[in-house]
Amino acid sequence: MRKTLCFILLLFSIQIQAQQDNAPVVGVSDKRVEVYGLKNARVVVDYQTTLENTDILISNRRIESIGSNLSFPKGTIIYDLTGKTVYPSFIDVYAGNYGIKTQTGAADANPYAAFINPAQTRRSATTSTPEPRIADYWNDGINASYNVIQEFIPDSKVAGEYRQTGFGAVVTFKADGIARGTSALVTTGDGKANNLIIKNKASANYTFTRGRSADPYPMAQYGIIALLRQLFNDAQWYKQLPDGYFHDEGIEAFNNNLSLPQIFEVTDKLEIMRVDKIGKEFGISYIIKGSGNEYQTINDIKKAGNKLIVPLNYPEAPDVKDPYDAASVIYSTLKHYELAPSNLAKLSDAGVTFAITSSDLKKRTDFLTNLRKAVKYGLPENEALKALTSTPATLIGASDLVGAVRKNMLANLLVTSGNIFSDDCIIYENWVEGTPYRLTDLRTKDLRGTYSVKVDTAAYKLVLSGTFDKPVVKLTYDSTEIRGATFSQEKDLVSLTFDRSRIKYRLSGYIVSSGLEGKGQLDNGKWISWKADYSGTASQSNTPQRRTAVIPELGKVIYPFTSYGWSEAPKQEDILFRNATVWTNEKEGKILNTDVLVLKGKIAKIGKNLSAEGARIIDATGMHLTSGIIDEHSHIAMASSNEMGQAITSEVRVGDIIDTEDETIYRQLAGGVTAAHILHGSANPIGGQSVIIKHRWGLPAEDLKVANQVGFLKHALGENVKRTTGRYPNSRMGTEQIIRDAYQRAVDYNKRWKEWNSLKPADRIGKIPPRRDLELDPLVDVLESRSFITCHTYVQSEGTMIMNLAKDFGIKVNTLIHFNEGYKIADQIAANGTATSVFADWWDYKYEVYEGITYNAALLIKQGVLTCLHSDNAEMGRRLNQEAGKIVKYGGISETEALKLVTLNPAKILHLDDSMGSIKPGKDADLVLWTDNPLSIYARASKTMVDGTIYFDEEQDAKMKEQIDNERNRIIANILRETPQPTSNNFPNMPRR
Amino acid sequence: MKNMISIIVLLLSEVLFVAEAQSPVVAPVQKKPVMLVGGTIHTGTGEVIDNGIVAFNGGKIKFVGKAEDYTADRSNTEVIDVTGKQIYPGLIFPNTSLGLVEIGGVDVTVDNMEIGDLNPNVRSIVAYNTDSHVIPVVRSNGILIAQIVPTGTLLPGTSSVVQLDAWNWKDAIYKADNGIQMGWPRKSAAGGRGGSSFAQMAVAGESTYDKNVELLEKIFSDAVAYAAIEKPKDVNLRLESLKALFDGTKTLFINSSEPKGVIAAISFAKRYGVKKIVLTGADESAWAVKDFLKENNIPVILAHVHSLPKYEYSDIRLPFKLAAMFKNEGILVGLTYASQVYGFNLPFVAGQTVAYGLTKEEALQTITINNAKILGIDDRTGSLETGKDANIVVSTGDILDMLTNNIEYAFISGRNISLDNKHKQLYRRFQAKYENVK
Repeated sequence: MRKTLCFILLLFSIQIQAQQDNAPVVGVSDKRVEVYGLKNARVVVDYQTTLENTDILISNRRIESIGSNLSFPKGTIIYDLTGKTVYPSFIDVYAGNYGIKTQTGAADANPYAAFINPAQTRRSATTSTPEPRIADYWNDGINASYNVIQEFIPDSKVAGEYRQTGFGAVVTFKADGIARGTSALVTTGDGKANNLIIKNKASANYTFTRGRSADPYPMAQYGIIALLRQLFNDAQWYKQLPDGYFHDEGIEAFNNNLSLPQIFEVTDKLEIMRVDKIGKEFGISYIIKGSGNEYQTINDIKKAGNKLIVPLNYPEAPDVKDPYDAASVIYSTLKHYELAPSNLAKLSDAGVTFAITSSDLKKRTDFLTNLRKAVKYGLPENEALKALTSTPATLIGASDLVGAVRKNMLANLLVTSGNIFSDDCIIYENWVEGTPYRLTDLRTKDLRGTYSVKVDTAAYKLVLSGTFDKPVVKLTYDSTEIRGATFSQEKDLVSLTFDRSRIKYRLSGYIVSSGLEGKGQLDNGKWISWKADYSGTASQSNTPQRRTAVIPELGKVIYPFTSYGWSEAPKQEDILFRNATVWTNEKEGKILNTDVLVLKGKIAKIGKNLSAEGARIIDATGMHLTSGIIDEHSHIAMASSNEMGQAITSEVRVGDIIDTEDETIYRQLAGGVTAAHILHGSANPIGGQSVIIKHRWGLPAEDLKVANQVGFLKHALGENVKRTTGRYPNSRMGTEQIIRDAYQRAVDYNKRWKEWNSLKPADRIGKIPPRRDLELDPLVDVLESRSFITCHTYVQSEGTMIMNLAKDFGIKVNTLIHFNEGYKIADQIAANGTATSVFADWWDYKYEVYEGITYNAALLIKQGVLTCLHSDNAEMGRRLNQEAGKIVKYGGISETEALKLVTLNPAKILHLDDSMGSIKPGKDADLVLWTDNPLSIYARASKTMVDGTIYFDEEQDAKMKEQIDNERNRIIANILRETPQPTSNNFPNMPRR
Repeated sequence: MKNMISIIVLLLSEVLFVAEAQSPVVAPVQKKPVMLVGGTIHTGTGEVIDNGIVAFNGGKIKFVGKAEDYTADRSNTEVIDVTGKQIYPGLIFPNTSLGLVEIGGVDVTVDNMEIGDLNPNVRSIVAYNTDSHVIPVVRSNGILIAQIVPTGTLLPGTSSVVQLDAWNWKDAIYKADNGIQMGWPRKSAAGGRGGSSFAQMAVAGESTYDKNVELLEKIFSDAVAYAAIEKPKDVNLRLESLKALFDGTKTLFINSSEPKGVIAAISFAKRYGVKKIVLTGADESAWAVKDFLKENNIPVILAHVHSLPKYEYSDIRLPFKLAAMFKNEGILVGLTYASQVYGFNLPFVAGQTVAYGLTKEEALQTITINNAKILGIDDRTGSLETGKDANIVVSTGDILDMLTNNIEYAFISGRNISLDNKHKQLYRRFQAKYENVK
């Protein structure tokens, strides 16, 4: 049966496409009339214009003319479309893998999968590496020279689904790799591939997903961003090379593709800003294929200004049936479930240009249902139509071909029963390049109405209501409804069955002018006659009302979109802290009963009985005021932690992947922590460039970065570096060599650039310019003191090693981090002018910390080493004040010096002490008000301020928690009230003959 | 003056270093009566006695009270003046791998987990290493007693309670084989973002839940039947080890971090007639079923005060508050510390609960008498009361706050134990270095 069906489909295909085929005739040719006239339709020309009573002449796959009362030439096949509406068919510019059969990369794979799964990581780094895909560029994640036409063969099942949901043309591409090469605009018709391509190289596509790359690098998102940056640099360098010097198909293709629309796919709205940032660095405005949650950062997206391609992938309702199990459903899941259908309405309100894609749906056939839901949630209908026709056509430069019902454009149009955005609209036909595909047969008579029925001698009343293609039947006898009656229609034939008085009636009939008539047989074998006379429309009361989903009153969007996000962000205030114990961290030390005035985000005055100068007064009697805690070593708020694909990854930048939605930021505020140094993990000898953020909870990534920060480059030694099996280095000996080699290469590289730069332009002619190497640039920055070494160190030997290695290159290690054995060489460290950033009491979790001791910090301090305490841990990070308290216990450091270990000293180590780290007029108002001595276990942070804005306040926190609970309960109640809606888009989908 | 001290320290350390390249010498038994005079006594029963006396002899407490009430003979007694200092019961550290794991990151030093899911018979006590360098470090902040537990999946093994100053595991025993550990299978995947993964003994995954529950059902029903046989023809070590659960001589320590898991596990244990049940690793999931715990009179050991909340929407300070919340419900609550190497922080997690609802004396109880009750040793220790073992700690200041915690004396059954440890030794060694290289 299935085979037969395929065979039939094949026949259709050949026949339909015969006219545009250049293939030789096989057997007797069968060229048919292919001029069509559509009469009297309501024509939606484009999203702005609708014409009534309009005719369309289609010839040679295109719209020949459009207007009222057209005279059709002889031999035109004419359809009367009175009462019907014609739309331009939809365009999907994001049909990933459509017609691609050799796909092996996981298109939607988690970009961090390789990192998360250590087994996989190990495998990809050592054994069973997959074969490289394509001979372009040095990294297999880049497939710029790939063109989808190499593989495209239309898939009739998927094409059918596209047609069924209103699409006439789609852009297909292979969803594999970071640079995915080029796409093609194809119709959704059936037939030979070469006949379906409308426009090759419609776009060049990119993503953060590594796909089926044979290279372990890059694994993490910031590695991918670094690779793209290197590719851009290589591409620019390549253009300067003399002919024949070096050929790289990937770079060449990448350069050529830059003239195409650049489409970048992301998996989350935060990534949109990341893509935009790369784009702006290289002068490209990416079209970004989003993930459906763009409303969550709408202002940032609007500011970025990218055009978007947006899916309608609303999440399924989370399972909340069991109250205990429901506890594990996170807040943002509940919120997003409720708000997702309003995504497009919100984008439209914000004035963002977007196209809609049917990508990412669990079932493609849910597309129309979800589209209509978006309209119900406030997306204007003309905006919806624009996003499905004009915008996508414009994005790929095909607006002369598709996207409107206009003369000379492809005859890609839809014939519908009315407004396509209303639930009961039927798409009768989807015309693809002049070929009509029947979804619901227009020639089938609409039989809905009320009938007086006579079966044999008995009289009944029949009401057919509901939808045209599947009417609901209601049969009554003597005013009593007969349950279980069935009615079906197949073009001109009908059948009706029911039971009455324990007799089974099986009636078969046909359409006549007065209604229906025919014969039937009872279960005793007796034949009877029957007749149904049309007596009027089905009355409203008989028509079952389609359940229209009630749109819930939507909750507010919160920023960031997670628990404790703001619906209204806190503002900077002028504040006077009255009568506090003030830990100044300056020569005044700790002063009692003192006021601190904060104006415009800065500390303005310190003293007794200060005038408020209009500031809000906070009574701090009995409380302690300190500088905000600075966590010198943290891994919060980053979207990935290690780029383990290579051992030297100085090119990766934590600043590229700040995760503003990590609720740890808010939790740190609750522990009085106002800033953090966010570093690459410790898997690599040289890991990457770190970033210092302030905990401005709710602001976009770029606004979290501390202004005027110097650079820090993460280095790491010891067990973590050695641990990656099969990767160099495997010992502390190799670790020293790989770092030395990197710096040596940087020295040579720097020399080469200096020589080049000293050449006069005329002297450069005919010479090869040096290649910009983003791995070595950060090392040159370190060599020239624009950036500084911060080095993960545990045992004394490696601490001595890295300080001496740096010395060999004329530089100094800025910070030795963790350094549990620092106390053993405190004199060396002090003499070297290097600082340490250590744990208060961590030890013994692995061999290299077996001699870590709680007295480490005290010994370092006593030898004159600038020392701070850090967390390296999201939980302990919010109790750094207690860790400082431990140093009073272990080694007898004074309380005022102990507090500096988490405030002023980290500020000094991070070169930020001119603006942070102490309570001094002119410095940033990063302040914490404590309920007790901040070094005591009994102290709580009561208020935490960053730049004069109170981001954490105990009372406000309790209110937020209550709001979260109420909002959770409200949404869960809504989910429980909803009943699943049946989908009703299961139309047959065969080409009409 | 400063130099003098340095020299003294130096001389001392030279001497000590020779003597103490390893763990400190185990203290001798108490040979004569000792009196701690003039300190503030925190009895662990909630009482605070200023200017008090604690007297002990033969390893037992003979007197606890106000100085003026002490009338007994003071001759031949070692009198220690602790005026201005704080006296506490020795702290008790339940549910830990102390002495079983030397360095977590070095496999060959890890002895707390056996292969397989059903190992109720393996006994932590026989692997307890009294010479572990970790023990004196933990001990020096006032922890004198610990429950040593195997970890693993469904039935990881049998725990024992030890005192922390011994030559060998046999003389370390405080209460042998006091409990069977049970990890109830997990049904769901891990909680929301930021969820804590401390003490995850339970098995993950819905697919394995039924299978694992069936394994437990089978071994418990077999054990009940086995226990009825007076002299089994085939002795089964696994079933033998479970026997004592049904007569109340062993406690079942259940670990579950899901609300329904807690109910399921406790109902399971009761169904098989387990007499004594404790919920370990209790977190906000246990709080969700607090009424059930209260009705069934189940004590809880909190998973870890210093952890992040389980869910991203949870009260961000919930782990700090839970001790007071359970206490106010009338549920017996004890505290532990997630990693044995940081056991020295046990007093500070108790201190943490004070800023979130407990009084200081109540907080002290969560690591003394409450833990003693939970471990079944409250008849011998956990409070400073006449007749109990002389497990006593003297701190310069408040033991619960790191600003003031400084242990000056510690006695285990009246033995005046060394407070030296590896950290202090290395501290002295490198103080000496910087003196020497000057």
